[in-house]
Amino acid sequence: MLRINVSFPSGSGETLLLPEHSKVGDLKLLAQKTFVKGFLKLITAEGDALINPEDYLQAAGIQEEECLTAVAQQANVSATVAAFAVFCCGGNQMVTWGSPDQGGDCSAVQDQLKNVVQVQATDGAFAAILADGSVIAWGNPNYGGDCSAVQDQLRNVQQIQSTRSGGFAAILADGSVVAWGHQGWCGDCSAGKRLGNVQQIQATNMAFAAILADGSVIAWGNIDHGGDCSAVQDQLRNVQQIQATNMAFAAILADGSVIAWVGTRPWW
Amino acid sequence: MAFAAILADGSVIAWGNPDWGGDCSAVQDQLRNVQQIQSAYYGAFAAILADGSVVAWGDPECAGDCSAVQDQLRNVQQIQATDMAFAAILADGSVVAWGDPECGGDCSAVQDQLRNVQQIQSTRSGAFATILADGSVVSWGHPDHGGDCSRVQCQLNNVQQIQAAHSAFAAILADGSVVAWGLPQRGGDCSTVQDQVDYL
Repeated sequence: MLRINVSFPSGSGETLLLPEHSKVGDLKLLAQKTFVKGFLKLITAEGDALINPEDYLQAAGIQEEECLTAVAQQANVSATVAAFAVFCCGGNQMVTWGSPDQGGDCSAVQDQLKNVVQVQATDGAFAAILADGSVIAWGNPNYGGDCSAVQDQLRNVQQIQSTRSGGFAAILADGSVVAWGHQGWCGDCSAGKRLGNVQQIQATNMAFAAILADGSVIAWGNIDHGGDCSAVQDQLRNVQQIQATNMAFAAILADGSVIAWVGTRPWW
Repeated sequence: MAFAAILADGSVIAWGNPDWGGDCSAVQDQLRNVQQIQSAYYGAFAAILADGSVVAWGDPECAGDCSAVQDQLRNVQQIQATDMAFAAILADGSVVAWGDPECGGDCSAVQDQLRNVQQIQSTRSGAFATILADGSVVSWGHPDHGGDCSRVQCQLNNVQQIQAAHSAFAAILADGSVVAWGLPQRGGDCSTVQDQVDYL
């Protein structure tokens, strides 16, 4: 039997006993059961996280009287209309269930879903940003579940926004935007890929709006959900921030005034 | 389709289909010092005023009329909506609901349990779920769409967060387990993935 000391950063801990040929996953399960606490990340004295549950403890360099630190991770749960996805930031896998056509089955990309830092959902698909800045999408292709057409462009992704209706838009480190997903219901969501110097993106249910570096705004998507801001374009100068509801956008300008738009009509 | 917006002076302007809340003229004089507006998808709005009271308008069949519970709507902190009902958390941790009773607008059956409510979520199709201070969960509304969590009630301890899909809920527990309820084929059954969750 191996004796392994597992303690929390607070100092409290226990000595766990398990067979020598155990795996990292066995140790994790035993620790979680012992402490009655889920989503524990185990870290060696050298600072290496024991990520892969299939690794044998010995192969991972865990020896008798090893001292490990347990850190409680925050689990994150996202939802499409009919599926859930649960992950821990930087963890080894994604767990999904629900309708397989709406994101409930990620088995085709499970091997790639490691070190996930953010998950965004439309009504029928999920997209995950990985720690290396790439993106993996799954679910209904009509709802953005297939990003293969733009996969090459999805590098150094900082942030993803989504419309419920099926459009994703990713902001890259250089300020450009890559969009994919439903081309009909939400208008041409891909129109945003021409953009550069994007500071922030917000989404209504069917449209996107982006603040550019010069303080102007570009909107695209369904024109009845804020996808056309041309009626107020002249007023959209020095925009600091955009907020979105299901159907409308509002921009806060540097002077504190607010310009909002819905569809093609401005309102004051 | 209808819209409502709070103006800088705390009044409200609404437009769009009048049957869906696009006309708030009947309650316009009550809409003063509005802090927040919530909408139910099928045609009603509810506004929280600075004094903690609530004004609702829109389709009366769909939560646009809160007169039946008006005197209970005091010190409202937050309002959550399904497609056709609203639920308000009050400062004392209790909950008041109104709107289509099939769609979450009637919480009388669980009213006694709704104490120290910390967090509220809703499925669009018509159910609410709340986390109480002791980490347990109370749900109501359409029984097939998340309003009935009795099947998993004994598992719902030390709940940390709840997420809603269209017709199902998922709860994350402190011990690392995941519990789901609602339409099974739409996310309401997670029994097959618990083994995977243990290794997250």
